[in-house]
Amino acid sequence: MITLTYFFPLFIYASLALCILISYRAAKIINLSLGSIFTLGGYLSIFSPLISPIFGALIGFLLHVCTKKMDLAKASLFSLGLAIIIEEVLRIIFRVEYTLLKSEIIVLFNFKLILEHFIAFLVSMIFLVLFLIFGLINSLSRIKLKIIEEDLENAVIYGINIEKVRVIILVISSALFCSLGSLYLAGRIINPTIGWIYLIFSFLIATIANAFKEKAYISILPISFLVWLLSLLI
Amino acid sequence: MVVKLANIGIFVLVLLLLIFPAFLDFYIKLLASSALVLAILTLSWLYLEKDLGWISLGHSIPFGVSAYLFAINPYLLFLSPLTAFLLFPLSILGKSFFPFASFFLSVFFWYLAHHIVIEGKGGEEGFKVYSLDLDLIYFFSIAFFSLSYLIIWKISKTYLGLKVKAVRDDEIAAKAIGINPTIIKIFGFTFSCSLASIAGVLYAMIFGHISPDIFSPFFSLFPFIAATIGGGKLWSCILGSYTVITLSWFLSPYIPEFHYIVYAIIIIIVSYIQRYARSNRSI
Repeated sequence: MITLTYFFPLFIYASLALCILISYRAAKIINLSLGSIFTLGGYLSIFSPLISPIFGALIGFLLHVCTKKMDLAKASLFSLGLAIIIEEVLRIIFRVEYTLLKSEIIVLFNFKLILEHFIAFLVSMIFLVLFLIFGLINSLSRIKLKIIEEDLENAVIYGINIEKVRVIILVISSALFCSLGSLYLAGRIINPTIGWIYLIFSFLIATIANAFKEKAYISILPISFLVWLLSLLI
Repeated sequence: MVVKLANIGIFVLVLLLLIFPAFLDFYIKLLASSALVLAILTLSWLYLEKDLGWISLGHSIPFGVSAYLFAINPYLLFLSPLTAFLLFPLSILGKSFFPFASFFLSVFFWYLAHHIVIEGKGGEEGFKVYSLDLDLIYFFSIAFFSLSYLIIWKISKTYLGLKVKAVRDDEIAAKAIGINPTIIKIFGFTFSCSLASIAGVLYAMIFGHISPDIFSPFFSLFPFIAATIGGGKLWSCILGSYTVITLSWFLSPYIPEFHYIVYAIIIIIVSYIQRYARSNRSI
């Protein structure tokens, strides 16, 4: 019987893929550090899940500061270096290869759920719904984002503060990855490399969605659904 | 004059590094063998980067796949040049995307390798590999490194090598003068992956064992790091390889993760100094 839990990855991967896609299209970076940030969130949850968005946001800000003058390839390469540093710092601090994260089980409508996974699902849903509203309302911010995506030089000519948009995107995406890591990894046995697999799946969804050009953001959820269905079949 | 002298000095150092370990104890020879084999991997990577202009961060794929094929059944080794077709399709993503796409693919193979189980063997433990005497492997490694270097050097000077460079510099212009860029790119990828495959088999034979870690970022990023340390010259990549292996060996009792930290620092520095490995061309 398919329970509510089975649907969680669908929305979580969709929100992760959305972060990757917007980082690529608007912040002009293939952010390879997100996988390690996701893992960092898992390790931070040992202390408190509440601190993970703060750490995530700080790393996102650091990434922006260090890469703001770089082009896409160099910024992405930098993010790979940052990913390795985060991974190795985790390995140095938590000497044990595998760590079991605690979780709390709740009963909701006769379904047993892991509380942290349920919160991760809610966070993802809220993020997706907010982004959908942002996309539907014809606001100035949405138009600015579209111009940045289409042509960075034009955006500068039109007086758009591209640096501000970039920092917002990197901070939000890193904070979300870190938060979801701290919630969704609960109850699992983790190691410093675990984030890569989540990044790969999200990256796959984002890459397929990117092929739909203007409909990319809207197509993330259906693509995530197909990938999720495929993973169930496998 | 100074540059010429420095080049001669480095060349002598490379020769010493090749010959000297042959007379030392087993453990030093083991380290030198693995450094030498990884230098072959770096050489194969440099060919792809230098002559064809593609930066692969997934060269652990031909390296690891051929080692796995050899471990499962040595007769399957004839398939190893085909590993080029695991990396080549990613070239449709363009030169900016290719390094990261190839890196993702190598990480995917790393996870996939954990699930390769044949007749109850494999998985996380990996496979036992047919091995030879270390002296013999060391000799083979020196011979193969020298041969690979000579072949790459010779190919670069031929008409085919010029075609490869023409495709690297401008695919449209190359097409205009009658060169088929796809064929040339397939040749470049196949040649580079074949060299990496042989390095993979030699590496597996040194340790007599192969595990999923052969696809890990250590091997994916190794050629990039070694080529950067070696200054991007074909024959000096051996210096980069020996430097990383030696530093890891000396410092691993104190900081086991040292080599990865070196990797990260080099990657970050390279992203600042605005050049990839040896190439002055920005991707």
